[in-house]
Amino acid sequence: MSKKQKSPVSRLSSVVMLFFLLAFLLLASRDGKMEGYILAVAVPLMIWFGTYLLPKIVPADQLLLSLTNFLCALGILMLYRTNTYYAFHQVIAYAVGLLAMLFCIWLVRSGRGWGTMILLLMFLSAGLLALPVFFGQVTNGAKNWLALGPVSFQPSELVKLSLVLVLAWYMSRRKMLPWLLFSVVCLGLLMLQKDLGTALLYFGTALLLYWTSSGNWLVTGLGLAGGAGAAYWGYTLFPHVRRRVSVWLNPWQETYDGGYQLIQGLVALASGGLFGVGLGLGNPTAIPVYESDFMFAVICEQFGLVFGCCVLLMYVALIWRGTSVAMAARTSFHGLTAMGCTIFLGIQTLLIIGGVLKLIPLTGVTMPFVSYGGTSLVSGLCMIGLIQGVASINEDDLAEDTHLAMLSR
Amino acid sequence: MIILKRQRHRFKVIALLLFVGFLLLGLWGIWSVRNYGTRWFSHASNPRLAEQKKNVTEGDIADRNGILLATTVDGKRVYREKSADRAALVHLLGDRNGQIANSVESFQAGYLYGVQSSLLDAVQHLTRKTERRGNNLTLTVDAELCSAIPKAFFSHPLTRGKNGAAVVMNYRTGEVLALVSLPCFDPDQADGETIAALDQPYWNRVTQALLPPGSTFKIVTAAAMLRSLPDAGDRTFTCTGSLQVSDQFTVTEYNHAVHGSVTLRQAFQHSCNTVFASGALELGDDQLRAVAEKFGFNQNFLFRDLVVNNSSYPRRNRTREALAASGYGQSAVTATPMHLCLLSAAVANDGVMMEPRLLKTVKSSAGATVLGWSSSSVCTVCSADVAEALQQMMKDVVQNGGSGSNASVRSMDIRGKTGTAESTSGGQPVNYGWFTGYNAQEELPFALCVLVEDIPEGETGGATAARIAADLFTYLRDHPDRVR
Amino acid sequence: MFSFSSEIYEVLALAARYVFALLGVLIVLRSFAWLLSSHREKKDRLRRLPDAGMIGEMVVLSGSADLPENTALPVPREGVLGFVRSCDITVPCAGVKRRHLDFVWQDDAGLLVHPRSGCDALVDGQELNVRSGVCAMRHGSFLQIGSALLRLRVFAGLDPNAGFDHPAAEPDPAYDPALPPEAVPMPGPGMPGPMMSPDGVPVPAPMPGGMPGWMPPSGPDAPFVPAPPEAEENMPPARPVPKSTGWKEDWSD
Repeated sequence: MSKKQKSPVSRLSSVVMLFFLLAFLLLASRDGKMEGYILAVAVPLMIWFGTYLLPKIVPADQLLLSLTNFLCALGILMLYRTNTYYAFHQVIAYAVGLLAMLFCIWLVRSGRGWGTMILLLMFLSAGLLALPVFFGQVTNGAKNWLALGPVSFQPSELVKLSLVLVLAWYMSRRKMLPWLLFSVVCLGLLMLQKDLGTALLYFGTALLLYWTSSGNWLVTGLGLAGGAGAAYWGYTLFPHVRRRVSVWLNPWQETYDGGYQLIQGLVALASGGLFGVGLGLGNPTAIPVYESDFMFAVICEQFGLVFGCCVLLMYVALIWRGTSVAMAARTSFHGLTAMGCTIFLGIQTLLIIGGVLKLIPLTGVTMPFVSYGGTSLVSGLCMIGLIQGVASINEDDLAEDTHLAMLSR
Repeated sequence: MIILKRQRHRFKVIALLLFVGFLLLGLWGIWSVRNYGTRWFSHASNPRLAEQKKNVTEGDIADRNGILLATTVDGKRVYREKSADRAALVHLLGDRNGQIANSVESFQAGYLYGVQSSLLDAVQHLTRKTERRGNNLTLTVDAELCSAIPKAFFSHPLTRGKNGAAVVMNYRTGEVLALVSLPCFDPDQADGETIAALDQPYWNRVTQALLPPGSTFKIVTAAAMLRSLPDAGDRTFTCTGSLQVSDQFTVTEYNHAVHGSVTLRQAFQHSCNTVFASGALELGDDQLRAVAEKFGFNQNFLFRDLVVNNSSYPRRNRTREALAASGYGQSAVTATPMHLCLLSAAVANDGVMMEPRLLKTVKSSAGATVLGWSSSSVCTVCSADVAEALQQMMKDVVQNGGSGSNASVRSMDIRGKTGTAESTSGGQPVNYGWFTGYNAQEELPFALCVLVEDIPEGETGGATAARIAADLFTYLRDHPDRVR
Repeated sequence: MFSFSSEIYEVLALAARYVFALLGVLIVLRSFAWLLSSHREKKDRLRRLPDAGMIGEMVVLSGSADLPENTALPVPREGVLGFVRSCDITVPCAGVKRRHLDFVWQDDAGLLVHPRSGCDALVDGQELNVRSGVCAMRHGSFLQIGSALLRLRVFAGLDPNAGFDHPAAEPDPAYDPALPPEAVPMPGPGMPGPMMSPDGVPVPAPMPGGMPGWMPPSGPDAPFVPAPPEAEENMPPARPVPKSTGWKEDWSD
C-alpha cells in the first residue's frame, strides 16, 4: 500500500472540519433542535467550500483562508452555544463577508487607477465617518452606530479598510501630508463619537506603518509621545475613560456597577480552568455583552485555557502569514497594504484580549472574526481579502519568474 | 527577491513585537488563573456554583483530628454541636450567607462541590445512581484549640470582652492550627440584632486587619540593624528615656522608663523605643524598607488557601519623624496578625518563611485523594545567623525578664516579642496589644500571634496578649497528639 | 429531533473537553507546520531564482576597489541606492552617500530615480538633485554617482521602449571610454536591443550570471554579434505573456 502524501491543506482542514462537526453535533444533541444538526453539516461544508472551492474562483492563499475559516466558524459555534439567533445572523454575515473578501482580492489584483480611487476613498470615508456624529445612535457610551432601515452598522469598521489603503498608498509615494491629514480627521471624528478604542487602533496602525515605511525614529517617537499625551488628556477630560481605568485597577469594589462585566469575565475564565466546563455546560451568558467583547472569555469558559492559548496561537499564525505576504511583495504599496492589515488585526486582537484578561483597561474593540457583528466580520474578512490579493500577486510574479527561469535553461 | 530591504526588516520587527504581545498575553492569562483562579471562582457573583449546588451535595469538612466541622445530612448542613464551638469557627468556615470573605465554605467551594472531578462523579452518578457528592476536606486546624481561644480571652480580666485575633501555625510545615477572630458569633443561632451590636463581626481580623504592629516590628528593625550596621550586635546604645528627633517629635518610652546603656539585645528585651528609633535613622529609609520588604511587607501574598491582606511599609518616609517612628512600628507601617505570626515563624525556622496552609488533604467521596499535602516556602527573610541572633533576643524577651515574661510556660522554650501600638479609630485613641512568638522545641514547633484590641490605657501587649499566648502554648504542651 | 438526557449529556460534554483540547492543539500544530513548510518552500524557490523580482541590473563601468568593474548589481522593483549594505543596491564608492537615492520601476516610464537631500547624480549627462525632481532611466541609461559609473540593463520584456526614441540613447562617448564600440551595441532607432532577435520576437529572460549579449570586453567570450537569421528556427518560441508585468506584446515599430 503506497503512502499518499497528504497536502498541508487537507491535513489542516480535515481536522478543522472534524472539530466543528463534533462540536455542533454535541451542541445539537443537547436540546435536539433541528438547527443544530443543520449547522453541524452546514458549517463544515462552508469551511470546505471556503478552503477548497474559493481558491478556484480567485487565486487565494489557502493557509490564510483556513485560519480565518476556523476563527469565523469558532465564532458561529460560540454564538450558537449562547444564542441561536445571533448564530444565524453571523452565518449570513459570514457568507456576505466571503463575497466581500472575493471582491477585495479582485480589487487588489486588478490594480488599475489606484491614484484616483484612493483620493475618492479618502473623501468618502471621511464623510462616512462623519455621519454618526450627526445621525448616529448611542450604544455603550459611544455614538458610532448608524441605522439604515433594518440594517445598522458601524462606519468605523468600513473606514478602517480605506485607512490602510490610504496610508499604504501615500507612504509608498513618500507623501506625508495626505495620509497625515486623513488620519487626523479620522481620529478627530472618532473622538467626537467617543469611540476611543477604535481611535487608539487607528492611531497605533498609522504609527507603526509610518515607522516601517520611513524608519524615522524621531518622528515616530514624537508621534508616540503625542499619542500618550492625548491619552492622558483624554483621561482627564472624559469621565468614562476614568471609570474604565478605575474598573481595570480594581473591579471588585464596584461589583454591581461598572466592574460587573470584567468580574464575570474573570470568573468565567477561572471557572473554565484548563479544559473548560464542557461545551454546552456552564453559564457563558452570565457575562454582560458576551457576544462581542468577551467572546474570548466565553471560549475559555467552554473549552478551557489550553484551547484559549490555541486560539491565541491561531492569531499569531495569521499575523505571521500576513507579515510574510507583506515581505514577499514586490512593490512598497502592496507590502504596506498587507502589513497594515496585519498590524490592524494584530493590535485589535491584543487590545481586546488584553482587556478581557485585565492586563489593560477595556477599550471597546471587538475580537476579529470571532465576535458577533456583521460589519466587524465583513470588514475583517475584507482585510484578509486585501492580504490575499497581495499574496496572489506575489504568487503570480513568482510563478512567472519560475517560468522564465525554466524557459531560459 | 528583495524589495526595500530595510522595510522588510522592519516588517519582521513589527511582527516580532506583535508576537511578544501575544506571548505576554498567554503568560499573563496562565499566571493570573493559576494564582487568582480560586478567588475569582469563589466570588459571590459566580452563578455557576449555584448550578453545581443544585446537583451535588456539599462535601464534609473535618479538622486534623477527624472532628466533623461541617457535614450534610439529609440535605441539611450540620455543624458542630456546641454553640461556643460554632462561634469559634465562624470566621474560618464562614457564616451561612457568605458575608465573611474567603471563608473555607466559599473559598473552597470548588472542592466542596466537586467541580474539578466532575467527570468521574458524573459517570458514577450515571452508572451507579449514587448520590453526587463533593469532596471532603481535612483542614490543618485543631478545632479544640480554636474553641480554647475565646475562652482564653475571657479568662483574663484585662482581655475579657475585648475584640482581637489569634492565629497558631506550625513553623516547620506551615500548617495553620487555629485561626480565630473576635468578636465571633454562632451563625446558626445569633440573630440580626446580636450581630449588629458587635463591632464589625464579619471582619476576619486575622487575615484582613491591617494595624500598626508596634514594637513587634522591632524584629524587622533589629534584623536590619544586624545586617547593615557594622558591629550592631556589640555596640552599646544609650537610652535616656527620650530622643528628640526634631522640634515636633520626641520619641519616648513606655512608662517613662530609662534604660541607660544597653546593647541591641537588651534594648530588644526591654523594648526600648529610642534605640530602635535611632537605629532606623541610622539605617535610612531605603535600607529599612528593603529589609521590611524581605520580611514580606509590601509583598503581594498569594497563598493558596488563604487570602491575606498585604502588609505595608510606607513607600517613602518623607520625614525623619516618620522614619524614626517606623523603627518601632508606628507611623504608617501596618500588618495583619497573620503576617506577624509569619514573622515569628520565619525567625524560628532559621529565616525561611513557610506558606500558611489550611488544607491538609482533599479526598473524594469515594476516598481517593484529590489533593495531597505539600508544604512550600514563601521566601527567605534573613540569613541564618541573623535569625539565630533574633532567636536569642526573643528568648530574652520571654525567659530572661523582658517585656514578654507573661508568655513563658513551664517546660517549654517560649520566645517572642510583645508590642503595644497606638492608633486612632474614629478620632479616638486606641491601643492594640500584640504578642508574637514561638516555641523553640522541635517536638512542638509552633508559632503564634495574638492581638488584643482596645487595651486599657497604660497596659501593654505583654500584660494582655502575652497571657493569652501563654494559655495557647499550654494547650499545645498538654495536647501534643492533637496538634502534631 | 434526537437529544440526550441531561445527565448523559453532562458526561459526554465533560469527556469531550479533552477531545476538543486535543483537536485544538492538533490544529495549531498543523497550521504552524504548514507555515514552516511553506516558508521553507518559498526560500527554496527563491534560492533557485536569484533574479526573481529584479527588473534588471546595473553594470559597473567604473567603480572602486570594493566594487570591481563589470560587476552586475541586481536592481529590484523598488529600493534605495547607497553606500551602506542595508541598501537595495550597494555602491561602495567614494562620493556616494549612505543612502544616496531612491528608485522605483514603473512599467511605462522606466526606472524613476529620485536623489535624497544633499545627494547629486548624473543620469545620461543630466544633473540630478533634490530640487530637480524625478528622472527616468531606461535600458542603457548611464548613472554617475560619486566616482562610480553604472549602466542600467533592463531584463527582457520589461522595457518596451528600450532603444526606441529614447532621447538619451546617444550617449556621449566620454561616458564609455573603456568599451570598444562594437562590443556594446548602442540602442538606437531601428536597431534592436541586445535581447531582441531581429524580427522583434522577444528572447527569453536572463540566465543568472550574465547575458549572452553583453559580454565584458576582456572576457573569454566573444563580443556580441546579432544572431544570424537562420538560427531563428532554433529559437524557443515566444513565451506566454503574463499580464501582471504589463508586457506589451508588440515590439516591432
